[in-house]
Amino acid sequence: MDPIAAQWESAQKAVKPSGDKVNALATSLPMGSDKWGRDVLSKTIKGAETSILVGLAAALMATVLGSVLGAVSGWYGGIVDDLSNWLYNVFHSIPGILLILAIAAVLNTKGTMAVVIILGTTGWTGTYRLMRGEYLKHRHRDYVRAADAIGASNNRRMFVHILPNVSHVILVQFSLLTVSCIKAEVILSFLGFGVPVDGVSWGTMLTEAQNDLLVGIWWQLLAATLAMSIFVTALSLLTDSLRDALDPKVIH
Amino acid sequence: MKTLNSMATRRTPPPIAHISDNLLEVKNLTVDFISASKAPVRAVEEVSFVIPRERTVALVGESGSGKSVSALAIMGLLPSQNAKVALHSAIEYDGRSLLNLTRPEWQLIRGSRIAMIFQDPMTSLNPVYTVGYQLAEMLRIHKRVGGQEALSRARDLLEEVGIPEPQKRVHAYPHELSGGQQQRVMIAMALACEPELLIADEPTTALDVTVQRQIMQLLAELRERRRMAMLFITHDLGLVSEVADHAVVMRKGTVREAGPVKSIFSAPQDPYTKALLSCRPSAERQGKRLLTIDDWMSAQPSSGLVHQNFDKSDASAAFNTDQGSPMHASEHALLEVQNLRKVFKRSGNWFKRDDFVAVEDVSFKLQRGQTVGLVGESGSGKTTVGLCLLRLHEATAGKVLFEGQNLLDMSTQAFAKYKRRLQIVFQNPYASLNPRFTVGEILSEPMQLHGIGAGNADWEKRSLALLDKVGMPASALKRYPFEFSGGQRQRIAIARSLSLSPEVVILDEAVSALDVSVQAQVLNLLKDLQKDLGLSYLFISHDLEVVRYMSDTLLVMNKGQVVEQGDALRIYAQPQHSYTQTLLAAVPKVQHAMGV
Repeated sequence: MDPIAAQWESAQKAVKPSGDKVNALATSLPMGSDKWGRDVLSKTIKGAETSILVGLAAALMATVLGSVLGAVSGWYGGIVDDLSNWLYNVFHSIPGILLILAIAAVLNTKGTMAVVIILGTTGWTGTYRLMRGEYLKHRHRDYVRAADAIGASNNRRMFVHILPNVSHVILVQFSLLTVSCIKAEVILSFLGFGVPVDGVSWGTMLTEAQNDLLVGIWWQLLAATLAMSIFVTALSLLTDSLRDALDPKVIH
Repeated sequence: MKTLNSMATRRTPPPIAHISDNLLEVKNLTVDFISASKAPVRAVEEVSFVIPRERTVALVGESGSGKSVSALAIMGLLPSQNAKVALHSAIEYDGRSLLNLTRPEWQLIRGSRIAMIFQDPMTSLNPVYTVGYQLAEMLRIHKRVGGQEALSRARDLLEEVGIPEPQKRVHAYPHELSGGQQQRVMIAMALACEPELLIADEPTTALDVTVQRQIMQLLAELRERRRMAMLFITHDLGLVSEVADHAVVMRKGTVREAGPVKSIFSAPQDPYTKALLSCRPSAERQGKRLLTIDDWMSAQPSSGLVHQNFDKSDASAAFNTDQGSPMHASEHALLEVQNLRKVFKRSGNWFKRDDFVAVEDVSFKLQRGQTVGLVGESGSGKTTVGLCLLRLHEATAGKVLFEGQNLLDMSTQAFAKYKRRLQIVFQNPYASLNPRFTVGEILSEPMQLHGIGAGNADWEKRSLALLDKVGMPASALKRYPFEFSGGQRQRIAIARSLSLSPEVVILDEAVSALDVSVQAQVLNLLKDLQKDLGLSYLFISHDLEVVRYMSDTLLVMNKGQVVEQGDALRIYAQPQHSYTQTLLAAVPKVQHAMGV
């Protein structure tokens, strides 16, 4: 299951407080160790597991939720649109952190899955607004009318005809949301709702790095940020090429 | 580089006239568009013409002919990164070369000596400033006059271009003016600095025919009064014959023919000019096949095409003999529309509803194999009628009887069966095809939805047959709509509507977005299909000539109401209603005897 589990265990066992800065760097570890003498490199790698899972799963949930709600409300309009807009306004008017805390309190569970659900149910608003706008625009386009004229059902027009034409919006939203979910996980972990204290994620690393910085250990912050930026860049490149691959106008 | 001139002139026709006092001379203009990924595209090749002082020269051509690129080159507005003007090209304005001017030098010429009017006034005016402010801004920059004086001059200009109540309109925002008035404001802006040369790039294409007529009159008056020269760019030969002194016919970046308008119309030399003159549907061509560009380009001189020398008496004979067409005799129409009414609900304020009646009391009958034409200007409700018939809009009142069944009050499930039998082709072939579907998917989807045919192989076979029917190659099947030109896309849209073997096809401005030559091909195709498949058409268009060419009966609509209705030829020959008369009079007609 976990290819680095054994290594991680032995590294954990070797933990002893090093206390001073010189020791932390003097070890043979490529990225140094933290205040407690733990290897920053293996922490970063282990942390990737949680962070990427939380980021992708929460972003996926939020994008799907936002896209479907946005599509339905933009397409049908009327009372459906009003209701979704009220829901949107409620979610949007509560400050983000407060909302996350409120839902965390209601769920009353901890752990990675809880983080995913919390971030997924709070993060859909931006996607919803964009998708609603796109559907409002596209539902009067001639190609959708033409699909109506040949007898395509509502669902077919919404998801077979329009969706591929607005998929670029979803992809961009997805990659942006992934980044913000990874960052939001930091806050949740910091507040004790997220990853348990003994678990590792890029979020907990950033939290620890705050204290580490006071004693001059800056490399933990660097490692976590570096890992995050590499992942985010890779994800953006992936969604960009996915968008191009889905666009027939781009010659492959 | 001058030596290249002699080499190049061999391919170009001689300049129009040797008038000593030429305001603008374009010599061997060649423009290439360069892009990183593709080979350079030659937009304009060796184009030469002159614009004499106080004369109007028309650049005529279809889309892609290079007429707009030539105008932009004259204005120095070509995108400098990727448009490259050949070194041997020359543009001389009043004896001075325009091609190597610096930015400050251009500012002294652009706007104040050469001014330009663009096609779409909606996008050329800034929506957040009043028209008075935008006019005054021109004066402040170029004439260096103060705020109050600039505003009063702006008022005078608005008055000159015929805007009613200029002292009030000067404070109006662009959206408060009609399309025609917006174009007048654009003309006022162009005139603000008293230019010597006015370049008008399709100034009336976005406007209705009656408004087009007024704007053309205005332009002609102003040119006379202000002693300007004008470069008039258009695709419409009728307009050219009305306003221009000289014409330059362009195609695919080269000049095909140039000369005085009179001689171009009476004795066109180039086959392309002949083709352009003859592919427009007109009274003389009723019931005859339209000749397309290909017919002319491939035709040998003095071949079988001589029959195109239409005899006027021929046409008038057709007018008088009311052939007692079957549609009056037969009682049971295939499609019958009774008192159709459509009201768009718009919420005004709390106390008053501000409803908009788009269609009021429209009734007509459509017989099998016949065509009903529906003609009117923008906002007349003609498109709404078409959409109501297919329940793409919900009609407010009235009946649509298809073989006696009312389509409007049946359930959605019941109506689904009728969707097979009534189809529609939309105006804009760029918008009506889903860009993410291949042509094969577009054509097989309707069959898939209605359970026609069995499986992919069968759908593909049927799609190929449809493509063949509309004159498209089989290779189109696996390609996407964006790979095709406007005319080809419209053929695909027609093929899609035919995939369900319908009995009635609603053609909503189906040829309006196409070039005249392509229009002729599509009209021929529609006529052929009607004959072969026994289709009935509801032909909706703003273009009287086209509607009349296609239709057996005609409905003229204005502001949601049918003002005149009856036999197409009769209405064209003897319009009864004053609106129909205005509409007919506004259509630009070729003024000179045609020698085609």
